[in-house]
Amino acid sequence: MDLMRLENVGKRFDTISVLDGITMTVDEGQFIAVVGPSGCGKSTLLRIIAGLISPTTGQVLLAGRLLTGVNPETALVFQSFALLPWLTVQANVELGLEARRILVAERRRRAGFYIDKVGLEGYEEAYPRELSGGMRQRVGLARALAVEPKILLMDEPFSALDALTAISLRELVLDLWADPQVPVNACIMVTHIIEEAVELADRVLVLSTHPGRIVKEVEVTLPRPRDKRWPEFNEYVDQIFSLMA
Amino acid sequence: MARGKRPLEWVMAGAGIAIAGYLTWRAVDALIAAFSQPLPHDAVQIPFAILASLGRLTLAYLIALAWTVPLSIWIGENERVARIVTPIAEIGASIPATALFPLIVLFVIRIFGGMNAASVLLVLTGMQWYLLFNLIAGARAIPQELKEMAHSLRLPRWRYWQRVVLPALLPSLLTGSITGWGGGWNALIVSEYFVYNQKIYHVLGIGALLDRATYELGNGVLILLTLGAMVGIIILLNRLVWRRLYQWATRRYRFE
Repeated sequence: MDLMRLENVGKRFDTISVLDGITMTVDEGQFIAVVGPSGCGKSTLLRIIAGLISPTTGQVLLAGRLLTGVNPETALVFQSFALLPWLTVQANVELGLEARRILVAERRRRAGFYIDKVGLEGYEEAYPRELSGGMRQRVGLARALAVEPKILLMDEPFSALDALTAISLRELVLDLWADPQVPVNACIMVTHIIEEAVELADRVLVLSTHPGRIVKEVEVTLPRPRDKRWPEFNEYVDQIFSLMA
Repeated sequence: MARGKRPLEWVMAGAGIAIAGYLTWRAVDALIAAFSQPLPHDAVQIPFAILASLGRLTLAYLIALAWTVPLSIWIGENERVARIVTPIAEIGASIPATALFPLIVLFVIRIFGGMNAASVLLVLTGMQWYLLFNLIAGARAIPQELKEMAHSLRLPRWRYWQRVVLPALLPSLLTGSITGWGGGWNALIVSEYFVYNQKIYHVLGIGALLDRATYELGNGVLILLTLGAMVGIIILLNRLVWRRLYQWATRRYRFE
């Protein structure tokens, strides 16, 4: 069954068409990657799914119902982490729970649970400026997971990190994705790095630019964890690369 | 080239020291002469005048905060409001506060009958624009991703202001406050003492005292005492309040 469906979604900013004719489904249990050159509207697409931007044409259906306003089943992970520098790790992670009027004790418990899950146990009282980039993005992940979204959205989540940190964060995301204690049913990640999409996703949506259209959907059927040295891995990368070029 | 100074430089330095020394001696001599007489009668007013002026500045500051903070938050959230309000505010700010004073005094004294209200209003015009422009800049500098984060987590509006906007505005609020109080002190001196049609309107305040010492009494000692008290209180406020607050805010409430 599909959790979400986009039907013929388009977005114009003034006279510029950013997205056009996007039709896609978000299925239960699927990790979707959206790849495309910069400026193809993939971040806009993610924000339409999150309900932060409304589409100019077409419609977004959430469990069969028309989505208006912010999508309550999603949580976002940002490229720049989007942490509040004046709040501790704990308070940053609790932010979404506070908005949902969850009682203090339960808030503490749940935030603590996800802080542990992302490997930041012991850093609850630290401030973001005291953390490395990788640790900050772990806070961003914990904050998104703490509201227990059905669909986790990630916008270039590893782009601001150095290569080694990005590797360990990708592993973390895969671990969380496989973890039965983490109730995320679907994941949508925007990236411009093809290898990253092939490593993580079950399905890769390839977007063209000006306007952004879905050129092709590629199903990645490799078992996890995937190794970049596998010949099949590279075949997927080559295939997607030729679709983008 | 040889180290050390050439003869001409030695001569000029010597002359400079001699002139400075002579002027200092004359000044100290004059001060001793002035202060060896009994203190001017009005000097006892200075502490009360300072308190009254501080009260006026604080009141004007609170009024300024009450409208600039909400307006700048609104502008920060709404590009269209920014396009309408910014040019209007720029015109308002470009009119020198002191130029408005005769108008304000005439109207306010006629309508409300109070020189105090007129004085606070003028201090406000000298103070509010610094706050407004700093706050607008601060509100517009809030990163887009932070706004999206708050929005997607469905933070209620007041919670969003409490957790995101107000803390983010703190550094610019303090910069605006420091410059705004500077502008306020500036306006204060002309705002507490006003001559219209040979009639003097004034209130109790350090600005009025300075003006009276200058224009009415011609008392050098009182001028010095008043100025000294004013400079002292301004430096004290800057050192003890604003500087500390600013350092704390930029340490804790700044984006990386």
